[in-house]
Amino acid sequence: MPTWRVPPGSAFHWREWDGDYVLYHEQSGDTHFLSAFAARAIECLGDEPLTEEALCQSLSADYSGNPDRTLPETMRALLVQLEELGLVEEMADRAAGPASTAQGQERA
Amino acid sequence: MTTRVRDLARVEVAARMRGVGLPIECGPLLMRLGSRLPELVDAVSLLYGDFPIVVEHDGARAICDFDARVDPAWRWPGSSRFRVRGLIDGRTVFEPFPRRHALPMFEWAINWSVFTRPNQYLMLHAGVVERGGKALILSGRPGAGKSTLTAALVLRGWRLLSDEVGVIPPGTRNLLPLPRPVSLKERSIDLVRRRSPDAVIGPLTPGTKKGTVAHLKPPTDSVERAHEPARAAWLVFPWFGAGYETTLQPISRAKALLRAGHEAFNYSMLGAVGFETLADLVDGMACYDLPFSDLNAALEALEALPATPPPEPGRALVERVGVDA
Repeated sequence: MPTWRVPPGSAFHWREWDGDYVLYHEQSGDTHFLSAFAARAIECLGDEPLTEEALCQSLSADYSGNPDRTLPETMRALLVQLEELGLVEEMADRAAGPASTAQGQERA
Repeated sequence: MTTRVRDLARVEVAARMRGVGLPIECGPLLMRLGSRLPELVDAVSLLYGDFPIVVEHDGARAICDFDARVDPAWRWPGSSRFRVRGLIDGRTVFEPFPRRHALPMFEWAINWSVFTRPNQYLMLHAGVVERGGKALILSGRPGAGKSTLTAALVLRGWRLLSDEVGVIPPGTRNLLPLPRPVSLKERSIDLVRRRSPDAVIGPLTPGTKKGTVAHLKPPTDSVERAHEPARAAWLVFPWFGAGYETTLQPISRAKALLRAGHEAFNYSMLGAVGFETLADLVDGMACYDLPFSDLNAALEALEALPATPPPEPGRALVERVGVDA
């Protein structure tokens, strides 16, 4: 199970209004519009590196407390997208996983 | 005592524009306007008549933010007709163009300088008007109707802060005035003229890349109050289209930030300062889309805005990962 983290040295400027998150990433100069789910994932990985499983558990507890069978797949797709944007990175070789639609993540 | 362009005889305006240029004060900027074309002397005397002239003693030249000129470039062989060129600080910024387009090109040369030079401010692409100390920002793409709405609101008594550019000093939620002439295109010229027969509009220039254009003279009161900033209160994205139902639609501040940043002139260049400035601005504002096809209905909707309560502030955080505090 790969471990993910926010690249060390990353600087994020956050704003949140009514559940919508905007993130300015100093390293890329890009501004991103994020769902609460994506924002929470970045926040967790900013606190400490986590495996996908641990990240799913953390977010699952945040949102419902109930296991969601589709969450690992959704999380994998989200992490791949966030990695493409330079917001997170994988610390170990990761196994290929199925892609699916990330939740509400856009690029400015 | 302040000397304004209108206080000078035309012959003196012409002499100064023909020479090193006429230095005027426009809100936070000093700009030097020059030309050897008599039609531009007339246009500057009319459209910039209320602007203060920067005092220059004993031949000492004031240091201006930029020096804008439109001068003859070259003549067709055997013809009395010549083309003209736009210069900023002595450098050609527009290739030679027909003399009949001199006025809009002069204004576009000034726009180019205003949009690109003062990077100590965040420069939104927007028209800005003020009433009761509160600023209404009309942001959006070219052709969205910003200038038409700006002109119409000004002619209904709102103070003109600026057309085309919203000037925000970082660390504030204020808009600085830059009350230059309002650029009107095509049908909006007649629309404004019909609504306000007393409006002072400069000469029409047909056949430009934007069609027929003309400029509304900024009201005297707006120019005389060009050092009074206004607090940002509303951010509206107008979008003109035939058949649109005219209605103010609230949008999230997050989406408003992305859109205003995308349309701004120097948001990316300012980096984190640009983000924080825009985010602070958006934090205190109610944000709306305004699709419209009916100018009267759009104006009524905008004039109802002062009755709306300000939004709750959001949350802000700067996070540096793996960096010791």
